[in-house]
Amino acid sequence: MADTPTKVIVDCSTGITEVLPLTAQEIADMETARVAAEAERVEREAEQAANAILKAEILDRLGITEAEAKLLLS
Amino acid sequence: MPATYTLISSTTLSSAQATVVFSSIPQTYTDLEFRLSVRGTSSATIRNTRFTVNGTNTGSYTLLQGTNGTAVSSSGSAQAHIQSGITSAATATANTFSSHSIYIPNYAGSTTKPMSVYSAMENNSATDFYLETYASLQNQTTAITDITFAISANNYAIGSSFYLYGISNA
Repeated sequence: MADTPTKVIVDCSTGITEVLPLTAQEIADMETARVAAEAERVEREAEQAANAILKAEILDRLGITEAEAKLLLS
Repeated sequence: MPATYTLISSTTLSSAQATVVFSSIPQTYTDLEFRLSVRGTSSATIRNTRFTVNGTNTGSYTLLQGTNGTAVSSSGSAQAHIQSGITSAATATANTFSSHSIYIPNYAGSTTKPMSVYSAMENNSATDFYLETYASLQNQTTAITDITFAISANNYAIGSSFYLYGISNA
C-alpha cells in the first residue's frame, strides 16, 4: 500500500513549518486536478499539432519555406 | 534585492511533498512575490505547478509558452486552478530544477486579483527547452491569506524550495 501523500504547511505568522498527511478530500481534489491538468495538456498539444499541420499546408500552397515566411513577416 | 523586499517565509523540502501551503500570510505589504525552485518526482520530463488561493479556484489566464524554439499562446477561463508553469520532473537532466516567479499586486485589497507568472526549466541538454509566462486573474475579492502549491502528478522532490517575499511601497 502506498504511503499517504503529505503536505508542508508554512505558518507565516509564526514561522513554524509542519508536515501533515493529506486528508482523503485533499487526495481526491488532487486527483481531480491531476486529471483536469492532463486533459488540458493533451488538448493543448493536439491544438499545437493541428496548427503545425495547417502551417505546413499553407506554406506548401504558397510555395515558400518557413524561413522565407518569417522573413516576409519580419 | 531592493530594500522594499522582505522575506516573509520560506521552506526547502527535506522530504518529497505533494503540496506546500503558505498560511496566515500577513496583510501588511502592498504586493507579494513568490520565488520557487522546483522539481517533481514523477516519471516525466516536465510537469506543471499550480496553486490555489484561500482554498478556492476560480480564475482565467492568458499563456505564452515556448517549447524548443516554438512559441504558442492560449487562454482559458473558469479554470480549476491557477498555473505556475513548467516544472522539471524525474527524467529531466539530473539535479536540475525549474525557476518560477509569481507576482501578486494588491493582494490584501478587496478587488479581484491579477497575477503574473514566469517559469522556465533549467536544462543542460541540447533539447527540451521550456518556458511559460502567464497573465492570470483570480476572481475572488477577499484578501489573500493562504496559498497552496501542488504539482500535476506525484510529489515535489527533495531540495525544492519556496520563498515568499512581501513588497512595500510598490
